[in-house]
Amino acid sequence: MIDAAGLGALISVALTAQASQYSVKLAAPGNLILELLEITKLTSVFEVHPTLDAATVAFREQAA
Amino acid sequence: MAKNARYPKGFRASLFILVTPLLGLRVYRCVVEHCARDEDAAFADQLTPPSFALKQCQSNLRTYYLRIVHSPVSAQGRLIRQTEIMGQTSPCALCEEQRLNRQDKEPELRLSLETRVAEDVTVICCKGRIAYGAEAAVLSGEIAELAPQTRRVVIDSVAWK
Repeated sequence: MIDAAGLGALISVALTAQASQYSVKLAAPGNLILELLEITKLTSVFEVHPTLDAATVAFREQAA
Repeated sequence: MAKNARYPKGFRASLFILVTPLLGLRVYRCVVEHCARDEDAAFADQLTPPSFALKQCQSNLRTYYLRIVHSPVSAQGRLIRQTEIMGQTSPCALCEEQRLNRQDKEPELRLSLETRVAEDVTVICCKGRIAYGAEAAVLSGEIAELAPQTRRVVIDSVAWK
């Protein structure tokens, strides 16, 4: 479950990451959370991956 | 000889007509006064907005009062019911019980964060809810702590129960 304050916390994380020059990915969100991220267009802010492994592989591919 | 012959005819009916609204008003005033006190406690606990707590109490009271006064039972039955309410279950006690129940249902933190490092990626496994209050603050704080140490963060299982 996530509410508006939770989404705000995620946005805060994204802003902190941008300022500190590190990257954050979201992995394995539930269907409802994913829907909420899509509705609020946060999928354009965060990379969302269906599994943790997919997120880790994405990091490796970026580094390569 | 009738057992109530010492009372004039219609005395009981008059008594019920007079006493019933007075008792009702007394119950109403008692609960409203208590709700005002309860409002402060609720605000202090920051569980729910105080106006909501007050409105809820008043609404419950109105329902309770109307159910008694306008119920299709005799005046005697209403009087007995009101006496029972005042004698056995104090409205003040009901409000206090409701407040305590709300406290019981609200644990302090419903989010567990488990941080681990896999190779050069920091994984934060995030189970529970990310909601207004401590949970959102905890997540932000955790990320802020990790910021100087890592360049890659994965938030895993976002807000899974």
